Amino acid sequence: MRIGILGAGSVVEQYHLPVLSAMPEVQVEWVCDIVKEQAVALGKTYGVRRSYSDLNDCPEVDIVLVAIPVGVRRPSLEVIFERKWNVFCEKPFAGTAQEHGWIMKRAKEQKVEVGVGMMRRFYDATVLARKLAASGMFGSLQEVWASEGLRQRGTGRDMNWYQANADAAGGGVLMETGCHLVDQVATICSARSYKLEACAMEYRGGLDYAARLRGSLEIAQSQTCSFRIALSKTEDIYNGIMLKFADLQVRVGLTAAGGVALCDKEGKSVAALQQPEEGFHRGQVYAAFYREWREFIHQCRTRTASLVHADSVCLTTRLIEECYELQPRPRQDDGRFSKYVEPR
Amino acid sequence: MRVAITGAGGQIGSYLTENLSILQPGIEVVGVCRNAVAGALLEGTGFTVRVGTLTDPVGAESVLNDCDAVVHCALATGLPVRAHSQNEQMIRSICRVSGIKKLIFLSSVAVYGMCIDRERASFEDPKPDTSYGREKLAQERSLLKFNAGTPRTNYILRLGHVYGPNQAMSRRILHMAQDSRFALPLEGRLLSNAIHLERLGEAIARLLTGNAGSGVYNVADEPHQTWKAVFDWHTEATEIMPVRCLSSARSEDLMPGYRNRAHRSFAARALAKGASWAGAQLLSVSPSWKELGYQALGLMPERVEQKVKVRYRAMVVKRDIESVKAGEFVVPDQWLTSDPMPGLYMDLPKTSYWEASRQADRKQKLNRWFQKWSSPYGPWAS
Repeated sequence: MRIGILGAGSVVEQYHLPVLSAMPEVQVEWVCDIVKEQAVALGKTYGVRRSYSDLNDCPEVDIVLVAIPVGVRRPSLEVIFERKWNVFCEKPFAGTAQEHGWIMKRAKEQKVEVGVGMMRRFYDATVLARKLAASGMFGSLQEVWASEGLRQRGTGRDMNWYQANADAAGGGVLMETGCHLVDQVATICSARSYKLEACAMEYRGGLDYAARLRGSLEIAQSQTCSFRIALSKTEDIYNGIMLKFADLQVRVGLTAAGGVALCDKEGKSVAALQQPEEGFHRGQVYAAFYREWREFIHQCRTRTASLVHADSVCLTTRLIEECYELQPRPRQDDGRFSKYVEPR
Repeated sequence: MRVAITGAGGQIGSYLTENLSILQPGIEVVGVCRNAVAGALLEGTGFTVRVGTLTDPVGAESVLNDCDAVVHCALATGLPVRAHSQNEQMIRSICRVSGIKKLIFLSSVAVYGMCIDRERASFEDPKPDTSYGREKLAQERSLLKFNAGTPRTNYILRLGHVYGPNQAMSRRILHMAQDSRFALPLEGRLLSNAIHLERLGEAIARLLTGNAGSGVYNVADEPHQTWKAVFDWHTEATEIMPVRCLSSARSEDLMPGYRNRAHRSFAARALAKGASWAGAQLLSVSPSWKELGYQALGLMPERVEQKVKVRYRAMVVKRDIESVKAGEFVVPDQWLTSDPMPGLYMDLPKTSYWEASRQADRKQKLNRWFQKWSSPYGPWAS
């Protein structure tokens, strides 16, 4: 499989290229970035001979990894679809359901495959939690409490960081981190649909820095469970997913090294179903990236839906969009937390 | 007096930006961050935030030229060579801004090493053994070099372990306190080298408005708290069970190992790690390697075969025993067995810091922060 990479940023440098370089069934043909020097430097590091700054100059490939900010993808996607290349998009997949729909429609017209990079689906803890929830062995799932956030202590980035630009990034913490957490919850619960009951966002300088969502998920035929999701960049909050059953809780770590613990009703840990791993350890992260690439390559070869098919992230896109519609960026930003608002 | 806080989005920088003018009225604070996302923490708080780069003289001048003093909290991290270059550029650029009359650099206890041994590391010649400690010491030396011969007053503060809400040290302490396998070595009676964030803020506020001459100072709580006192403060505030203490006898088993490690050269440590890695490989061989090993043994005299069998069994037994102990006992971090920092300590200002109402307030703040991240219900509490 010949692969082209659009975007020479950190997720490509740290994750995608190391993994793709180690896959013998794959050949990375080129790296394309608006800043050509970045593409050249990255290409040199990983032995990719060709670098470009204009997608129109790039030679033929089978798959393009789209790893540029979601807010600026459309022109590039139009070129990619015109050239009938399969597309693997880094998260977030799309800013709105309309955009999501446009991508899928164009892909269908051009008869190409589209996938989304949501590597948390492949973390061992997520896979185990999903199996436990689906098995029914603990009874029916009643509630899901998920949160992720750390008070921002340093970004290590300069003024041009795309996440400082709401239009390029598509949003703040809800878009950037929330798409992972919402998708992880949806994956674990095998959610089919959702109902958003309330949402509150905290905006600073035009970007959301904290969000709290409450609602319910349809998890199986006529079965629902309630959910609460909290995200924050302004304060340290609990990082994990808690699945609440009638008589016990299952607590799931969010990261590749996260564990799964069986707890009593009060939350006291009884047994570790999967031990969290400590220390500097990225091994499992690369396994997750490898798994998602393998899924997508299989999807391209067989033209059958895989675990990374773009349709699978529709729920996440719609839920996040609904939150931003409910709580749009305020015109006068006073930095205070907005009231809880019911959807109209 | 206008004071710039670099790294204003960081653990200590954000606290100073929000509180320095409260601790010392008359100080006007300007927070400096690298990008708008970092500065967002401070937006809406009423403090001025400037976004700019400090790694070049033009950027530093534009951000700092109207400031009387700078508290330099910013630190580039990542790969050592690149981080060092950025840190060096920052210090150089800040030192070139002519209007700055006072510069306070926040260094660290890490310059003395993870497990301070006063027989080895001194105030004048500290011996860092981590990349963080080495970088901090390098920045101290750069600051002294770039400021030599200038009329600027410079303070280098070797901060002890800073604790309080939003501090990584408090988070680490609370994690340890919640782990039933953890016990404080030497009954927790060693001096901690710790300092509460609020106390540090008072000390910096006093330095900014006082007349003390340039100097390098260690900074720790006054009176210097034991680890037991610091841990108890955390567990009382958060209603966690007090931590157990390890007896002196059991602790003495640990201490030589830590001290010896601190004395070892880089080559000796690398060799020891290599031997330990090789041993671990032997204990987890695949069946095909094992088969190869058996074939090789078959070529040896019987007495050699017997020796190898006994040796190998001893390694497996040792591994299994260690894993049993690991399940019951967490080896304490090295810094819990440190000596106090050697040399000159800063005299902290006499304030109402120790008053009961302020103590209670600090504990409440710590507990509110703890509740938010320790429980899935935490983010929904307010």
